Amino acid sequence: MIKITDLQKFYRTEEVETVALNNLSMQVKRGEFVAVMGPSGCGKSTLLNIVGLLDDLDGGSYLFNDIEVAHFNERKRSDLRKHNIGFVFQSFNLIDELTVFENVELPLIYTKVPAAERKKRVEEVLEKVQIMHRRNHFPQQLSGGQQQRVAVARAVVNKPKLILADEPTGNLDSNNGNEVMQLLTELNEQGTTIVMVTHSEHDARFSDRIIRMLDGQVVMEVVG
Amino acid sequence: MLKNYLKIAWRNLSKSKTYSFLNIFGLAIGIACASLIFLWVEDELTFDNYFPNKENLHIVRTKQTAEGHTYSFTATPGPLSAALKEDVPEIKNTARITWNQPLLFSLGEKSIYENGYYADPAFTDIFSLQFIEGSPKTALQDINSVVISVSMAKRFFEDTHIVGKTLKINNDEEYTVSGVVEDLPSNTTYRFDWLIPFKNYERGESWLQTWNNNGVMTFVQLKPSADLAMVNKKIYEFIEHKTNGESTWSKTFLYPMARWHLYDSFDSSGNELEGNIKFVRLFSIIAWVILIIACINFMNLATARSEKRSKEVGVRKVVGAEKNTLRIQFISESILLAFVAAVVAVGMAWLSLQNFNTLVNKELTLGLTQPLHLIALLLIVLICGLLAGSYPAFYLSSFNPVTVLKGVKLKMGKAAFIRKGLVVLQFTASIVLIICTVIVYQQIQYVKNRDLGYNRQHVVTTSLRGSMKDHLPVLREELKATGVVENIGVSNMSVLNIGSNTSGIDWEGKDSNNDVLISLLQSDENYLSTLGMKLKNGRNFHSSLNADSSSVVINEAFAKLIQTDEDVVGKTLDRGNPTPYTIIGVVENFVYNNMYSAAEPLMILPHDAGSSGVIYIRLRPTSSTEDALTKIGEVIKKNNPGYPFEYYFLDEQFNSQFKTETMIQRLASVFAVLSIVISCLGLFGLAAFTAERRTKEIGVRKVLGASVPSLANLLSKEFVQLVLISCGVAFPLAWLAMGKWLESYSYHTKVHWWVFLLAGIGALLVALVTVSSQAIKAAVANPVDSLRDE
Repeated sequence: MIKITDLQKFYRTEEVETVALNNLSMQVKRGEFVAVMGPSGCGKSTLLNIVGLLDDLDGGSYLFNDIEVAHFNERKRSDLRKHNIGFVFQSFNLIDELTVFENVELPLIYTKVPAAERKKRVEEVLEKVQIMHRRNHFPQQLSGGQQQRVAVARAVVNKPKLILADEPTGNLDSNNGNEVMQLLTELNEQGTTIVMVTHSEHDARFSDRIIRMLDGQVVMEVVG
Repeated sequence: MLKNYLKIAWRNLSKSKTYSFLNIFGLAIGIACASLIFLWVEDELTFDNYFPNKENLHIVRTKQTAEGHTYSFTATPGPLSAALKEDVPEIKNTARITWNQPLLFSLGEKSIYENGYYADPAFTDIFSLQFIEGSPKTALQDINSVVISVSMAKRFFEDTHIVGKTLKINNDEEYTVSGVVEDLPSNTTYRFDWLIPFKNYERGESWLQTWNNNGVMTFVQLKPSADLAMVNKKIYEFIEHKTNGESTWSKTFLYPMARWHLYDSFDSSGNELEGNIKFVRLFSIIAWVILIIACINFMNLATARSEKRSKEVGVRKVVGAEKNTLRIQFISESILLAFVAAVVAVGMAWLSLQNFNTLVNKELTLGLTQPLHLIALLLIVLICGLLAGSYPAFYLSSFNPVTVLKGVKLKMGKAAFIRKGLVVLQFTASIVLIICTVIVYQQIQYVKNRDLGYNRQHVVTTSLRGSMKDHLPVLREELKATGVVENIGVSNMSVLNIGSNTSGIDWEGKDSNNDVLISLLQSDENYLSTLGMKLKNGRNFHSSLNADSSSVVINEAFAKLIQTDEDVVGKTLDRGNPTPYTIIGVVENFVYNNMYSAAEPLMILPHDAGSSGVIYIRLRPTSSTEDALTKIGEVIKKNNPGYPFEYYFLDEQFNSQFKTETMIQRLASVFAVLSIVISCLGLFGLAAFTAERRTKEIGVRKVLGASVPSLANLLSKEFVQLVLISCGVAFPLAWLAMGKWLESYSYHTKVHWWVFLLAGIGALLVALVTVSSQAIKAAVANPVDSLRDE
């Protein structure tokens, strides 16, 4: 599903150029659950943003479903992203002014799903993450675990083939963290490919394969 | 999708109340101002639209040239109307009216002065008057009939079914009401409450049969197919033809109804000048400037607040929003806000409409049921929404989701620069408005305080009406006997508007190529002393005016024109009369007609006893005005029974000469204040967000030992700089504009540097007060609170 070869990414300010990713190559197969680990600043999040088509690359090749996307402009990336990729963030990133239902509905609006269909699908997925009873609440009225479940619901509502999770349990206690990991595992079992960045060895154990990074490069791969 | 946008927009509005208040209130003031101005503009632009024949209706103007100076006026000879209709095939119909004049109407005990015209029967048809009662065909046939307006009918009869009833005019003849017509709208050039057949006016006025006296107005209705330019070419020398080449002096042309109100002024070469259309343009510009100032507030607050929205932008982009969808979202938000502001603005406009009407002397209504007004309001909402929303929309939608979701503080470089530029723009506009207002005020005051050449204080004036003119000597004695009156003078017309002039006066050594118009005034022997005019030379009329029937007093300007080394007193002036006039005195120049220019040549003739005119009564400065008016009123009523005592103060009449200027100045000052208020609302919001944005910096500085005043200073400095830059831009602009404006008056004040200083300091102080409250609040806050969350 994902085939990255010799990926390069730099960050420039006026004076310094920092190498974030240095000739990185990796692959993710359809249906895999991959965890990416490594110390802070090793380039995990940068890699995830590029895989998620949020950021562009400075060199190398990126085949997404066998299509070269390295040269895609923002519009094309956005189009590919909204139909294929769901995101889960460490800090949930729910929109405070929207209710639970509305937050989950958002991706469907942008992919122009009709209202009746939207309602059906949002309710389905809210049931699945067991947050249906809170559908009309605002994010700040929920606990962290509940918020992250809403975020997961939002990530999967469009039935993406790939879910990218950036430290999904980082802001949660272990009970809530486990619940979220359970959810991700279930999704994976139903066929969704998952790439997860994490600091937690415990969470990484849920994955099929662990990629370890250092200084913008893959240093080790462990099949679980 | 739109529902989703509006929902989030609404939640954002209700969540940050200060921000929403600043935005909505500022924009609402702007929209309310603009709406009121546009109502005024509409009223001006639709003048005389009541008349269905507007397209084909014209007034005949006469043009006369003397000494290279062309005068254009609407007075025409009596026979012109009928002759035009007969001779010019393009003309469908013509009608004459007299000048608008008040007549005293009475019914039983009720006596009211009403304004109206003597009019030809065709007038009702040409102007398509709507008869509620009576027939337009016959209403102006019978010589003693009168057509009155609905409002006048209600004043006298409280009813409109009154055809056949009678009203007494000037305590003399009874007139029969032959018709009642709809009131004309307030934006009509020639309004009236009564019409009396022209025939009635014509009897006994033989001059109306001649071609060389201009005394009535003539209206012409052209056939729809007629070409105005062609007709004007045809009738230019009409009077010359009609008099077989005798009268080469007056040229005539048709002046279209559409231009009566908005232009209607002519320069000394006879070219049409812009009249009220100038103000229509000026105020339309001001309306847009105020709207733009209000929209700038929105832009600035929206971009300043962008950090609050950055996460939302990031999330939306991650889940699939494109730049354009986000732009549409933000623009629809600003349109929603503009809509809410418009609703508030309608309320504000409704509340202030009455005061505004007083200010501009109109009878405007909001007219919210008129589709045009609703469409205009919606257009304003859309324009404001787009104007205010477009820049923030482009700015916000350009955020990179990766950066904003990481919580990295945005670099504000370019946006901050634009924001500062916009603040400078707002303050520049406000400061220019303030300076202009002050200078217009100074100019009006300067002219008002000008030495007119006579003393206008403590002078009461009233018209010589009814039997007063026959009792003049008695009246004078009795007025003096009241003890409150110092002096009484009589003249044939107001000293402020001497509307009569003549050419063709000859004197010894006159340059025959240089025919000058000389103003004509008639006065009695007490006139000069009553008004406090000073004789420079010679003597005034004798108390027995008969002995002076061919004597004249001239003013200095005329004396200068005669250009003689000898004394002008004793010289003669020939006007073609059997006995030439002898100059008996020279009066010092006094200002008349145009309060902004120097005195024109003037000749004062003795006032004919028994003719109409005005009385000037100088009160003793020691007597109380109220007491004096009561006593004078008693004497005048006794000598002129049946007429109410109507009086004016000369200084008030003088002040009313500045009505337009005063109105413009008051309006401009209101708008100047409001533009400053709107700008400050925006500045307040910006200061609040700057303070919020810099809390961490302030915390660190405080921990390191910064004092509260130094921190408040730090936060205010930026805004003070902006106001100073605005001054730098505004001063030259205002200086140029006002210099040019003042030059259009020959008697004008100077542009004083301290006005600029005051306006600058004023703007600075207002801005400082606005900003410092926020700065101080931020500076006194506990640094622990702001540093803890890091």
